[in-house]
Amino acid sequence: MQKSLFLLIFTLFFISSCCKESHESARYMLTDEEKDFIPYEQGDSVKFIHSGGNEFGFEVVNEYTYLDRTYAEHCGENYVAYEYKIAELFSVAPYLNLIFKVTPVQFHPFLEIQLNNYYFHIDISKTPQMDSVKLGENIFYDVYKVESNMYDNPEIQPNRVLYNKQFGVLQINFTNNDSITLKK
Amino acid sequence: MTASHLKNSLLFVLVVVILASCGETECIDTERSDYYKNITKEWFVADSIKYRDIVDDTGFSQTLLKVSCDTFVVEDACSDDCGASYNRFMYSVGFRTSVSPYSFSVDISSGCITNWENKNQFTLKVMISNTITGASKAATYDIVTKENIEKNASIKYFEDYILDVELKGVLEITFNRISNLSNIKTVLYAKGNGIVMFIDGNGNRYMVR
Repeated sequence: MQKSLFLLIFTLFFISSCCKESHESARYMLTDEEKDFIPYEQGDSVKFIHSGGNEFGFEVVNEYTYLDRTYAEHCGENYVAYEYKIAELFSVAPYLNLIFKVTPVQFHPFLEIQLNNYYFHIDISKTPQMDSVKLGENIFYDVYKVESNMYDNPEIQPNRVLYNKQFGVLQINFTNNDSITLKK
Repeated sequence: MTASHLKNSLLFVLVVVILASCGETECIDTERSDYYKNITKEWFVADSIKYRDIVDDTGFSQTLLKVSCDTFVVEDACSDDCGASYNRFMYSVGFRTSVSPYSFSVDISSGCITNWENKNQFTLKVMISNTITGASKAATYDIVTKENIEKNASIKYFEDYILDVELKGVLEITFNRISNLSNIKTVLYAKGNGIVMFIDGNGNRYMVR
């Protein structure tokens, strides 16, 4: 009796630990047009000017594309493969780290912009909100505008990003009315 | 060696051991403990301090936020051979910068002074971390001996320090080594104010106002 019970438990345990093989259900690759949403190339130097007058530069320290897959929560669950492109820009002083990540529109139509610990998302499936914008002496065309929803917060933080496909970040505004603006 | 010699030697060792352990008993010096407890409390950050502006050498502004502040008292944490006991407190305060990836944690703790021991009883520990590089560093100041407990940093105490305003009681902690120039190399902590200035490995100075 005891032996049969043990055998049953063992069989059930064995069956429950069997796992079906996961399969790729879809694959989304970046088109050239989507990749172009991040115009930075490794080794580039990008100059910005702070609203206080100080000029500083970002270096493009990383730029690559990678084929990733979605996380399968359960055993045997299928996954989706997708390509993404990353560019990382670094400024020594002020100490700022900008990371851009774009995924295929069909998979997740957003360009993610990370400034240190803050995130902004631009829907690249939509047309830019602004036909043109004048920043200093320069006019930029087809500009995306993305704002954060963090109101009533006493801390100084980035709250708006202006971006276009040709130059990347054009301006980042902060809650204390400071800004950093691309210097062409 | 004969058995009687061995016996005498053992007796001698035993007498020496007994004499050595017959010294003064360990007793809490309540008066000095109270004195250092009060001095240690001077390092607490005023409750009114919550958000302060930071401006670095490039003119870039952000906020230093006090994110946590807790005090615990451990009843009768110290006890001595004279039948006395003494409470101990632990105070902890945390800060983070709103844009730069820095966070600071300061632990201040009290102990008790006895006729045997006064080291490492009243301490102030500053921990710094950078969430991008993943680096963290800590240094501990002994309030009684005015020395750095670890040897990874130099700690200087200033009775008066002029930054934007004149500060009373400032610790300047400079780490000997940092793994990345973006990490903090020097930090200034002032009585009642907390973090008042820090400098990264590139020399960029962040003034807290």
